[in-house]
Amino acid sequence: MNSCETICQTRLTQQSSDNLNLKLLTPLTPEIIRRQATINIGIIGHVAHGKSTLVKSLSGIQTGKFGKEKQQNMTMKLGYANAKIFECDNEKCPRPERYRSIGSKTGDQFPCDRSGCGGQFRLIRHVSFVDCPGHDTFMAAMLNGAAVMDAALLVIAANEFCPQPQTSEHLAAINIMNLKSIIVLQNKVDLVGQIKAEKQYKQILDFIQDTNAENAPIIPISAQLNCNIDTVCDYIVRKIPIPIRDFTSKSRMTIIRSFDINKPGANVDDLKGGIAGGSISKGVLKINQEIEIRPGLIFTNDKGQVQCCPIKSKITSLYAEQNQLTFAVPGGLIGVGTKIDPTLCRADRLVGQILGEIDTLPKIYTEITIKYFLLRRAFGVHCYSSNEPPKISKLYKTEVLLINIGSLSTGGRVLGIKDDLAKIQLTKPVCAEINEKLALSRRINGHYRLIAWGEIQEGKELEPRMNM
Amino acid sequence: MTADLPRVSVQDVLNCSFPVWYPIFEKHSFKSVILKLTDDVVQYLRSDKFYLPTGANEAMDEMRRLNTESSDDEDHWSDEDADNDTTNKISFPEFEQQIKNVLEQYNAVFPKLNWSSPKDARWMISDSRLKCMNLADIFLLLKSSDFITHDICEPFKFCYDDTDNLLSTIQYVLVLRKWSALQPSKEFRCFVKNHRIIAISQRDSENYYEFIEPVADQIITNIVEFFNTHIQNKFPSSDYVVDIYRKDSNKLYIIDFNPWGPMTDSLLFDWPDILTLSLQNNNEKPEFRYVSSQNGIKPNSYTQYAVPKDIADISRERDFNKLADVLSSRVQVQNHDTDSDNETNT
Repeated sequence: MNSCETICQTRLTQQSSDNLNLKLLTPLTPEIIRRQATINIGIIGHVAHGKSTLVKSLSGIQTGKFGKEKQQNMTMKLGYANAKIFECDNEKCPRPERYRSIGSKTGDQFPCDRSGCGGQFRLIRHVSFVDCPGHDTFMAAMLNGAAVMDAALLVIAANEFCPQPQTSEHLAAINIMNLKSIIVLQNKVDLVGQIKAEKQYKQILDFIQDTNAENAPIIPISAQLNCNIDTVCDYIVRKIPIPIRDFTSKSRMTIIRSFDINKPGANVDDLKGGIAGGSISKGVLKINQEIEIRPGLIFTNDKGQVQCCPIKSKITSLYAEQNQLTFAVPGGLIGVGTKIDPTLCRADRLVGQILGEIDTLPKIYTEITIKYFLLRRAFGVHCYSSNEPPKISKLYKTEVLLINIGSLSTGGRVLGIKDDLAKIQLTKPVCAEINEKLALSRRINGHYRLIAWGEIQEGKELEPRMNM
Repeated sequence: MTADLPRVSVQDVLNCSFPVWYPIFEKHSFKSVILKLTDDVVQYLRSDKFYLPTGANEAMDEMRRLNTESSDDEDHWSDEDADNDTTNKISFPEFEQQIKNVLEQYNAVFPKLNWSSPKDARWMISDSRLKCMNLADIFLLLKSSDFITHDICEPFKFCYDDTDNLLSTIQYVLVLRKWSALQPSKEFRCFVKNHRIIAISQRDSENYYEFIEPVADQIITNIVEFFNTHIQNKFPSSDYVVDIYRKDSNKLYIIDFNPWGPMTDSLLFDWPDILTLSLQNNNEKPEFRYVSSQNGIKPNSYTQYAVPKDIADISRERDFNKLADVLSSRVQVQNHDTDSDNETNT
C-alpha cells in the first residue's frame, strides 16, 4: 500500500468483528458503509442522455478527464461506480446543500464547505450506481431473476422530445423488474431554456402516468455542470427506502475470480494462500471464519469415476475496492484471502464454485431433471438475414447446450425428453438447489442464443469426499 | 499528433498462424503437436449443430454408468420420440485416434486452432480452464467457443485485403500443447514496431500483483534480452505483438503472436498510446505498464461468453428492446407455471 492508501485506511475508523451482532446490522450501519456500498441504484437511460456524466458527477470523478487514464475509463467499462453520500450535521444547514456525494475513498467525515457553517459532513449512505443496461455480470444475474437493483434513476435528456423510443423500453423494463422506487432526472437543462424545460416536464408527467414511475419525483439537473446534483442526493436519502437485507443467514458467495498472488520463486514459508473474489448473496463473512468451497477439487479416480473433494479453509483477509474489512456483507465484489493452496486458485480455477460456511452449501449435481418451457422464436430481429428470427426447434437427445443455473454456467448434454421435462447430464459437477431457475441456450448462427427457461425438479447427486 | 490506426494485412494474420511461427521458435516455446484438420472436421466445427462425436458420446455414457450406484428407471425416458434419435452419429476415427495418441503422450493438453484458443468456453469443463484430459473435453471446448468460430469462419475479418476465396486456402490445424499450469501474473504482452519492443503490458490486466513493481526493471531487462536474442528479426512481420511467459529471470517462453492492430487487445495501453510511442524514434527501453495498486475485485470479463449472446447485446445497448422482451418472457413463464398450478388445484 502506498502512503496515500494508508492515510485513507487510517481515516476509516477501525472495524471490529468482536461484538458483531448480525441481527442489528442494516444497510446503514456505519461500520459497514464506511467500507462497502450497501444500496444498489440502477441508472437507466440512453447513453446519449448523459448517464456516464451523471455517474461521474455522483461518484466525484471529475468530468473532462476523458481518455487520459485507462483506470478512469475502466469505471464505465465495469458498469458500476460507488459513491458515499454525506449530510452536514448542522441542523441549520439548508437543503439541498447539506447533502454531498463523493467517491468511496473518502473518509468518515470532513468539514462542511458552506461558509460560516462549522458543521461536519457525516457519512449516511454508501451507494453503488449500477449502469443499466450495463455490465454482463449484472445482466446475467437478472437472467435468472436475481434482483440487482433496489431503486432506479431514470435519465431523460431535456433537449429531446419525451418519450424517445428507448425511454419507453427503459420504463417497460423498470415495470417488469417491479422496481417501485424511482426518481426521474431531467438532464441537460443547461441546453434548453426555462420554457422548453417546463414543456418537456409536462411530457414526462404524461409519459409516466399509469406506470411504476407514476409518483416519481422529477428533478431537473445538469450533470455536465454539476448542477442540482445535491438535490439528487437529497431525494436518494429521503425518498429511497432502506432495502431489507438478511445478514443472519449462513453466508454464501459465488466465486467469479480466483488467483495466486505469489511472486516467482517464493519460499514455501512465504507462500500466501489463494484469493477468491465474488459477490456475497447472503449472510456475512468474517476474518478467521472457517469456510468451505464446493464442489472443490474435481478429479477422476483410477476406476474412471468422477469425484469431488470440497476445499476447507479459513478466511485470512477481506477487502472491497481498496478497503480492508474485518467482516463483509452483501454488496459489491469482495476479495477473500484464504489459506488455500494457491495453485488451486490460480488463473480463475475456482470460478463458478460456491464459498460459504461449512456444511451449509448446496448439493452437488452431475445430472439434473428439469421442467422447461421452450421459446417459440429466438429474441431480437437484428443480425438475421430474413426479417424473422428463427423458430426454436425442440430439444434433441445428445445435443449439447449452454445452461445458466442461477449465476453459474455449465454445459449440458440432453439425455432424454418426456412432455415438458428433460434429463440433462452436466459437463461438470455444479452446486445447485431444487427449484432453482435456469436458462437454456443453443448455438444459432455462430453464437449461443436463449431457447428455453427452466427449473430444476431433481438431480443425481455427487457425494463429496471429505478427504483425499 | 496521433498516427492513424494500423491496417492489418492477410499476410500479417497468416504470419501469426501457429504452423507458421512455431517451427521457427519451437525451442523457445511450449511442447506442442500440430494435427491437420480434414475438411469433414472443419465442416463439423463450422456447423451450429452441437453433437459430440460418437467416441466422446460413448465416453460420457460410460461416465454415467460408472457413477450410478443403483439402476435408474431409464425405461420411461428412452426413445419417447422415435425420430428424436436422428442420425447425429458423427465420427472422425483417424483424427480422434491422433488426439488420443497425443493425450497418451502428454497426459493433459491445452487445445487451440491456428490463432485462437477456446478460452471463452472455459465454463464448459471442470476447473474453468483449458486442461483437457480426454476427447470429450476437447470437442466440448471447440464447439462452444466464439473465438474458435471466428478462426474457422472469418479469420481475416479485420484485414483490409481480405477476399472471398481466401478461406478455402487455409490449412486448419488443431494444436495440442503439453499442459502446464501457467501463472497469469507472469505473462506479458509485448508490442513490437520495426523489430523493436516499444511497449510491454501485464497480460492479466484486471488483477493486482504486488510483486511486480519492485522487480519491474528486471522484468523489462529479461524480456528485452530474450526478445533480442531469440525473436528479433526472425519473425516475418516487422510489426507485431508477442506474448511472453517469464517463469523466472532466466526462463522465458513464447506463448503466442498476434497482429499489430486494434483487433489485438492492447490491455493496459490504448492503441493511440502505442502508436505515439512507436513514433518516438529513440532507443529508450520500452514503456512497461502494470496494475500498480489494489483496486478491488473486478467483474470477470469472460462472463459475457458464459451467457447467451442476447445478454451481451442488451449490455452493449445493441438492442435494448431485448431487455424488456427477455424479462417479460421470463415473467410469462412464471405466470404460465402459476396458471397450470392453479388448473391442477381446481
